Amino acid sequence: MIEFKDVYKSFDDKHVLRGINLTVNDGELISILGPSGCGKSVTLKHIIGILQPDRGEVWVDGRLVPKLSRHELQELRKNIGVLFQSAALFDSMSVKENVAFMLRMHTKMTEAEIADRVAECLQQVELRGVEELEPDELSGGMRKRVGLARAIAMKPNYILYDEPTTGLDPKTAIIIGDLVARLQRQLRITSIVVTHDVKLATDISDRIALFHEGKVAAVDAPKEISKGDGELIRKFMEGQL
Amino acid sequence: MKKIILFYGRIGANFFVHFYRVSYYLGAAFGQLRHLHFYRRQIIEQMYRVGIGSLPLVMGLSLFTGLATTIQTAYQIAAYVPRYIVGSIVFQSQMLELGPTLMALVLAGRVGAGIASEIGTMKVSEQVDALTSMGVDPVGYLVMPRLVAGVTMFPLVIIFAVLVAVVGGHYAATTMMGVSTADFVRGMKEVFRFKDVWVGLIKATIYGGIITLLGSYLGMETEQGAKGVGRAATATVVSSSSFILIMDYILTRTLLKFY
Repeated sequence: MIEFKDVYKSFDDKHVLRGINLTVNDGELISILGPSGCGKSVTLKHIIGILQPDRGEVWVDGRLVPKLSRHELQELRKNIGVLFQSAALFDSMSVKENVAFMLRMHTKMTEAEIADRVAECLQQVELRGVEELEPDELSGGMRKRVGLARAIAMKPNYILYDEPTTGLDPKTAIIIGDLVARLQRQLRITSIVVTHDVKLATDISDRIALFHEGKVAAVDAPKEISKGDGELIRKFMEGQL
Repeated sequence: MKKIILFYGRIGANFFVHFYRVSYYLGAAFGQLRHLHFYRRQIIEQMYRVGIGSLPLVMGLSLFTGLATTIQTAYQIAAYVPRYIVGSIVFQSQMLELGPTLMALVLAGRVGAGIASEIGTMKVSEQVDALTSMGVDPVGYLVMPRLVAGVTMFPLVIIFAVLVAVVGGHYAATTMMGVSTADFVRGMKEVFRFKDVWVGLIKATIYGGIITLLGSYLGMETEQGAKGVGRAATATVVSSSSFILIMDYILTRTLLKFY
């Protein structure tokens, strides 16, 4: 379980998070929805300890993230897969090396075992025959899939998706959305999807948390949140925020 | 007057901020040395890139510095001292000064700017964040291997540079200056001291550390996309070259006096 308790974060005089309260239950897929600059990605970075809150608490599996030692934090991160907005593939490595990266760094698996696991991960994201390609030979959608294969390589309990469909054409965006939902069902992991794609969030999420001005304005199931009569929700759903 | 004070005050404050951060990265990289085995692949790869990768350029340029030094030395000592002195001056100037310092300035461009732009690109494309999110320390994975490669491979590169420069110097002395091989070697033998070799190697080690540390630091601090990457590469060359020349004075004075 992941919990945010009254989390504040500022960069210089810009107040990005202004008292976030949010609980993500085990096994659920929650989307954090909101306009650009409302603190969605900043929230994700608090979960893996890349950012520390100015005030408040971030809990993952009963552990207070900002208080973890360097070693404890590294151990926690092995259990959290992250798909970055740009996929963040290591451009000096092939697809196979990217997916195998964490296995090589953190496990004692043999090369044969690593190769099998890489093939399995690539199959799960519906990619075949791309092992030897370099990241710059991949399309945007393929890069996201390889990033996703890399994120699930260590069989994490959590996956964080930072804008998984940004920069993709509508068809590829739907494919990636379906893939996220399918992986969620197959792997039974806890997922947080940060996005401003209303359709993606309503299609794949168990719950949606709507962020506005650094706060959680509403949290509910997609159908419920769409029915909400609050001015804020209506404006965002209509693209006016 | 107030503006001038503010201007220099800001420069001074910036210097101390950078100094503090560079010290932090140096300390963090030292801390990661206990994971040498864990990062052995990265270290070997960097040693190859910094050392073997630099050899063709350094050896090619050293040949010309050897040729030029000999011609100039012969010109300067023309009528006053015996010709065999050419060998001694060429060897000593290459080992003590031109080999380490001149080649370090060249490598500030090749190695330093390369490190800054590579790490800087990784930083702005979220690859450094990706490393962190995967439980891998970016200082251990990116900075420490480059620093280790710099301080271990620069002295080796400089040894090759001096050898090639001496060969170039010998060629110029024998073919253009009328100095015999025997005289050239005699000149070298007369001034050869292991102390000079050590001084050259100590300089090379320190320059290797400066270039790789500053390149890594400025790369890790890169912001603002491609513009930031370009700025980091330029800043690495400028700051490394400046520190090398400042350290050259300090090291020359200290090592030749006390070593």
